Amino acid sequence: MIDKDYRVLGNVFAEFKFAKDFTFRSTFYGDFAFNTSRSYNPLPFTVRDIGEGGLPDETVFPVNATPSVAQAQGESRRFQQDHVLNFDKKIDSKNFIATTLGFTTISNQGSFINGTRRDTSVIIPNNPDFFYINVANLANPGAFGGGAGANNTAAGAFARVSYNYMGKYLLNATIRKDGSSKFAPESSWGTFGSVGAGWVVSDENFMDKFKSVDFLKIRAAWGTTGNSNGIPDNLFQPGLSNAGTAVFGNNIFTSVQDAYIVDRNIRFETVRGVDVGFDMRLLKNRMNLEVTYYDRKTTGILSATEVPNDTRRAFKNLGEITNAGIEVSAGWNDKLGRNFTYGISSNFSYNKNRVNSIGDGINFALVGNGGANLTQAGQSIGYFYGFRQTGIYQSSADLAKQPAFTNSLPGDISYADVNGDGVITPTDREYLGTPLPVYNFGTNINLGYKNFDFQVELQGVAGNKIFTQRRIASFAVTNYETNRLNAWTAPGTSNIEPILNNTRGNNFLFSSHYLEPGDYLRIRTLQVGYTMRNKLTEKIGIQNARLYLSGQNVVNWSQVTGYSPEAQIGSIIGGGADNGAFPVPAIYTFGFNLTF
Amino acid sequence: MKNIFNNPRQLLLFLAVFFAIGFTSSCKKFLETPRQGAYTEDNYPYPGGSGPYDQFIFGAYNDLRAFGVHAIGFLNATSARSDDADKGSTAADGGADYNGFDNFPVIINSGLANGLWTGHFALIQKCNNTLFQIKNNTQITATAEIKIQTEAEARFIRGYAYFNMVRMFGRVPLFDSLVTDPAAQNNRPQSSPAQLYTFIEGDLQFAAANLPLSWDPKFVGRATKGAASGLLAKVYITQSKWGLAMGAANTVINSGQYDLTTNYTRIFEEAGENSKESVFEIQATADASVPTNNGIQYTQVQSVRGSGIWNLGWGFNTPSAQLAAAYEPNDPRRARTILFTSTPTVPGFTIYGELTPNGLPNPRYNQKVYTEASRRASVGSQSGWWMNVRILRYADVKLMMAEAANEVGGVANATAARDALNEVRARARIGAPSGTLPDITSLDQAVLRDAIRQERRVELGMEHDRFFDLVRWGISGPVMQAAGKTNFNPSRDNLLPIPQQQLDLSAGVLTQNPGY
Repeated sequence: MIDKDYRVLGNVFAEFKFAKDFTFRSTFYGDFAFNTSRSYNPLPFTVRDIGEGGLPDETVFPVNATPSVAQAQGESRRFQQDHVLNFDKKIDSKNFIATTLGFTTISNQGSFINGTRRDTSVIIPNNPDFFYINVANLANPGAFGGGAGANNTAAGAFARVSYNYMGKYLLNATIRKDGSSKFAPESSWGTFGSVGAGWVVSDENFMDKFKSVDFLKIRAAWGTTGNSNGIPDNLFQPGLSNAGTAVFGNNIFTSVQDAYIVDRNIRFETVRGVDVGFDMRLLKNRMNLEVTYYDRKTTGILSATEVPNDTRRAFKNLGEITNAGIEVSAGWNDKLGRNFTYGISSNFSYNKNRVNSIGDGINFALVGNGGANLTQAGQSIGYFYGFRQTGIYQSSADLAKQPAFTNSLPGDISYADVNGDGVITPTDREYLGTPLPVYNFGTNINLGYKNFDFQVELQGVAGNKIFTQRRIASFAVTNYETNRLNAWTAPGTSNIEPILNNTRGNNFLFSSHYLEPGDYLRIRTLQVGYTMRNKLTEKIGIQNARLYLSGQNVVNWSQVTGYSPEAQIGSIIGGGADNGAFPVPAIYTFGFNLTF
Repeated sequence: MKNIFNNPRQLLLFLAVFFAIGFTSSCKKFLETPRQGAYTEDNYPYPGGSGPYDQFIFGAYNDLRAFGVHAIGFLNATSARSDDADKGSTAADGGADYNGFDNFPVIINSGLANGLWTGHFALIQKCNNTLFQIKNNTQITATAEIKIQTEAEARFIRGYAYFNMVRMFGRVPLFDSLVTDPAAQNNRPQSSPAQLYTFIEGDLQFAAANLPLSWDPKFVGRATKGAASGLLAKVYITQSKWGLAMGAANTVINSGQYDLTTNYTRIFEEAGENSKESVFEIQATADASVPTNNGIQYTQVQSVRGSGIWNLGWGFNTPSAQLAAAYEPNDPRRARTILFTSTPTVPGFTIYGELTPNGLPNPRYNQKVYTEASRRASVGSQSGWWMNVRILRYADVKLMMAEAANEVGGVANATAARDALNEVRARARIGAPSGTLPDITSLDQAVLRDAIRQERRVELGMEHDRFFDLVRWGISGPVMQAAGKTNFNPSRDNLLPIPQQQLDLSAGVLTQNPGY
């Protein structure tokens, strides 16, 4: 595979101050990317037969196969312009006003084309010099797989006014209009805004007696924002798919069909909410503390949903959810003696997510990921909904004593009889957890001693569950994960892992058996450095030399059995499944910086 | 003019403001970005000519080849569930989902059952969309004849889809037209089998009245009057409406379009596609450039699961020992239907005379989907996506006529029934030693009934009718017990479960079938 990417980025700006208090700045950005790749497909299929009738590890090449070559090219263009007019005015010694007017547009375009061809008469050598489609002549079969484009734009205008009185009483208000080409012309604009107020309490005279408080500000804000991310272009139009064909004899005719269920009225997803909090510095600025409480309502969540009795997905603005929580960060920085400095800062947040309504005109259940996730008023969005494992039926006698499915057998997972009717049925499914982390936290510690410095950064989440969907796949009949080594084989052998028999369907139902805690704590960064700055180095013209050793994502503490503990939230209503998520790489760096 | 811009910075500023104003004034246009490289309903360059609604109804033909409609789910539901076939492949392959179709019950969260459900509703939606376009699309000008013919075509496929659905699931929601807002209108309760059958009959009667007898050769395999009448006959015999079934079957027989001259072996070959035997078959094709997209996976899922040149497919839906034992002595249809894996003592041969290897994972495979080696080589694929699916054959129509006539009774009808039965047997014995498959002589209703049922089994072996036949004859319970499928409980297993995924999605609007 030969892959080449070219990218040109640039921006120009002009700034102009006039009439004393005005500043005007125009900025133009351009981003042009071009990608070309050529590749070789040695044989269309290679089957490694691991013991299903054939010899183990026998490699089977299908007959009638020859290699193919492929080429692909893509290009993308992005243009952005920002124009901002500032008016900053100190009216007198006490009153200060700042206003900003801005206007911005963004335009994205792109296209790609690719194709392959397979030479049926000769074996194309695996040599990049031949990785061009024309190495096989036109009479050979080929697929001109793709040729498509993208075009979307966004525009926005905003006005912001802030006023403060003696730097103590602060007020600001913003209003903005955002437009996106992703929505129909009558819905493409949304109006959003915010108002905020702050009070620097520590500047008041009555605070003089609280000597230890260096700074205290109380703030509150209310506002709305709009979001158009996460949906494809032009969805409001009734898109067609012409991938389908009718075949009569060997004649092929193109068909057209709806690509999705269209909703012309899709519009910005809106977040509206309040933030209140305070910022504080104490004890000669050595300690800082920030606390924010927020309560935000998101309405018209943009999401693709499964609709009853249809294979097409509907892209809609769903109902309303509330995210409420608290964010706290605190830090301490100080020195011990002349040579030792240290600092520690931590942050913590708690978020509670609650669905208020699933949306008007939705008379079906919002299920995600084949029913593992459910979105319901009063619960967390996209929560895990299934059976709760109580153990394993150890024997026929054990089975007879417990609620079970009519076809349960010893070695099967036993589930909780939630409705207490003595048998297990789909009505015994219940809330099993949320895929969204409830707690986020992190800590950063810095130490310095003479020329040495040391940093450690920790980060983690807690309160969520991860669905090990990769283990539920029933088609892999020979590959299991190590947890299956502990499978139930006879009474008393396991109360967690069911019998190793993939015809026992009850064990493949979505249940807490396939959930694991998503909590993790990770050393995000670990760094040790040594800085040299002395006469010796200065003599040879070096001001400053620094050596460091750094590791990123060095250690994870978690109970997650997958490659990565980070929950995969692709769809907000069907997230949290680990189907073999790509691991976060651990990166070790040894560095040497010289400053001349 | 000379002093307006006293430095270059000011000039740039002026230009910036100028452009900004320009963009602002054209903002409405700026935010209208045309869809790139894909059509919408409003700008599709509809081709004129013979069938201006073709692109819509062709979507339904496309879906007839869908994995959810006519691949492994369909084969499991119609064949592996019966006494004639087993799950096949390796013991663990397919897991609980596939095993449920063989050993019962089908699991409530079966992915295959769910695929059948959504696949058929997608197919029905394409038909309803075609009907909607005929009624409402003012951009298309078409003659009244074309409109009626296209309506008939859409209603044929819709009737077929609902006929499969009612036999598989019993009660399903009824969509008699395109809903304008599926998100608001798709969640509807199930209709009863009686309501569904009334609807299906209406569709197929309209189709039978208004479809052409045949099509231009470039449209071979499109829905015809014969296909609609033949399917209608099957709908009637399923409900024991014997007189109507006889009439519908006779419409096909008297149409002059079909006969039994095609050799039984030839019918299932690539070269036998769309023969005089074919009343309705799903069309598929493949070539070296497009080996799968215009084909169907129906063949691959049930083809020989070997290695090397015998790696032809997944090996599901294998003929059972009971089916192998069901044939009369020397019946050539046994070897045409069942591909035997060679054993150290008994060699197995394909219809083309190739010796099968020893030790394939299954003792028997469906030979009716065995592909020609030369075709595999020319397409560059082992997987047989080009094989048409024989949905309705003329022999089936003959046997439906025989069955219906025998049930209606009377000497004339019994004679017609016996004669039709013997015509089918006469073709089957071509090339066999004399004395094979002798003519049935009795006119006794009970004797003929048994003979016709037996004939359907062997004539239509591995052709998706056996399970539904057992159910409509009311003998699925004892037959399955006798075949060793002892978990089978007719009060539950005659129908598939309503997929749990659909029950969940419906938020209580759909209800589960009895026993699940």
